[in-house]
Amino acid sequence: MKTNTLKAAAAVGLSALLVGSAAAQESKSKPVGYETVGYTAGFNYVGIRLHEAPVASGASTTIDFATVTVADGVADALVAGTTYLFEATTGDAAGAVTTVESFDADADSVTLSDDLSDNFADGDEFIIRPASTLASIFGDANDVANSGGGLTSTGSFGTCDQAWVPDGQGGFSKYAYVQGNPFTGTLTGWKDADGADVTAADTALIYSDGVILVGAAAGDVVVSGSVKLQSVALSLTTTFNYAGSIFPAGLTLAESELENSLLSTGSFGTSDQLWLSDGAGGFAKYAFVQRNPFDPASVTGWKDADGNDVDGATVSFDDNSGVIVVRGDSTVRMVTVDSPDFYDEL
Amino acid sequence: MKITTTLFAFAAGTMISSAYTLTVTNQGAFGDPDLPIVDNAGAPLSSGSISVGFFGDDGDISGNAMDFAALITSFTVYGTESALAAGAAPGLTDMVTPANWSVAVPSDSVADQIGKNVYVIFGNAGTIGGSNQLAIWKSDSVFGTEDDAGNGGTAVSLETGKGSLLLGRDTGATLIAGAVTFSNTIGLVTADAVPEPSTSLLAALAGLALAVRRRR
Repeated sequence: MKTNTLKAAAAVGLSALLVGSAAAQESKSKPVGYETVGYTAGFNYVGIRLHEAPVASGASTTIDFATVTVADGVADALVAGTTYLFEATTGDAAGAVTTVESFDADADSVTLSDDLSDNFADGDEFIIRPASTLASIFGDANDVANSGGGLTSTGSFGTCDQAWVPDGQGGFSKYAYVQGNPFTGTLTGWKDADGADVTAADTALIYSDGVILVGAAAGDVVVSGSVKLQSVALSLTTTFNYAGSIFPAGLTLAESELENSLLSTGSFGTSDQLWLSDGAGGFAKYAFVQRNPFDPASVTGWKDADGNDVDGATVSFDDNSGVIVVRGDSTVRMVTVDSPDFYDEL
Repeated sequence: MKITTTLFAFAAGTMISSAYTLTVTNQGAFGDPDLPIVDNAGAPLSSGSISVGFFGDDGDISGNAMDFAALITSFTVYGTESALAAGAAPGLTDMVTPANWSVAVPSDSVADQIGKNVYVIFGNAGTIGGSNQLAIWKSDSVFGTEDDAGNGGTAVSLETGKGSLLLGRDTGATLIAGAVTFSNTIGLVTADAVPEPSTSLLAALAGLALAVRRRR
């Protein structure tokens, strides 16, 4: 279902299909590329796996609750009105991604949406990059998907292609590009499910969160940008969590090392589960399950929903830019998706 | 037993085979704090029946502890009851989203169970109604709805700290499969295991009458 022009690169190293591009304040070229994300009529679980280039990086001087004091010049690189992602890259919070709530160039500080101070210490490093938005992925005028034809757009929200963004509490913010109505004077543009106008350039699509693309018809959208190379922490806040699979090529269950942070019990049903859409309305489901001590032949490891042992190296996320992580219990949990080993060489 | 209505969900103009699913297991840790299921003699249960659903009030259980038929009548079943699936060993079960507990509960549903705790009834026979030993576990897990994408469900862990035994008794340390000792259990009981309130009352009144006569 999801055609990934990068996936063939996994066997030979991602750089084979990538061209170098200097991120604004990084000394080393970072890989960039594109992938074509296909979708069908109905529910499609997708994620943003190629990103805007970082615009700033550095190490924190001090952190006071959610406010991080940064080196002179870091906050100067930020532009008001843009949603930025703050990514911790070293220290205990490495992999954490949150949005920048505000910044103060004079005070050399950025205030984050989340308080990372328990894990993000003085001297820990970070990068800051603009978040993808409805406009950057689908076009402010809906002129990106389907070779510029755009997502399906009609005069009714319900019959348009829709992008659903999880709100972290089990609900979704829903968007579609809706045609105007000459009889009522409403204008063509991005709308939410209540019919309110939406500023696509301000509507962030955070890559750690998945997006449900509800297709009125099949299509595809090309996403381009830079490749994330480091591990990413996901916050699982509800029973059903829609997440991006972060890395566009080469990620497998084994490479993800998710077994180290997902809840694992002796039952598939109470272990955290990863659901990968099969593109036909069903899911392949996996969990890391503890061995049965009453059965000498059983082993701790990845299992499918039928209890069969699964070789984690054979389960690829390449065709699933978005996944569902189903919590085995009701508590909030942070899990870490490690990047494929060969990304270390990029 | 009342039966919940099965609905069909439509979303975004697409019919989807969605459902809100349940899992019930007591083999999360293969040891404490899991609670193996045992019969009234303390023997690990290797077969039986299981039903999930809800009561209007916990008083429906305590008030009918001596009358299983009335107790079952006051229980609203979610989906349909099932044979107790064998787990890793007798006394253990691992019922992962069985089909008969997959019920369509769209996000805009106002079904009665939503927001209520999941109650689990265990019976020693092939059906709950045919069982002469029962146990009832009130889980801390709560029924919900699917989300707008049609996904939803909850897991019930039969373990200490994640619910309470409203009918039944804890038989204490129990060896499972000759290998692992569990400290506590969910023990089934018969309807005559608890003195009927009327019997207790009569005994108390008799004692009172005796005391009155002695004073004279």
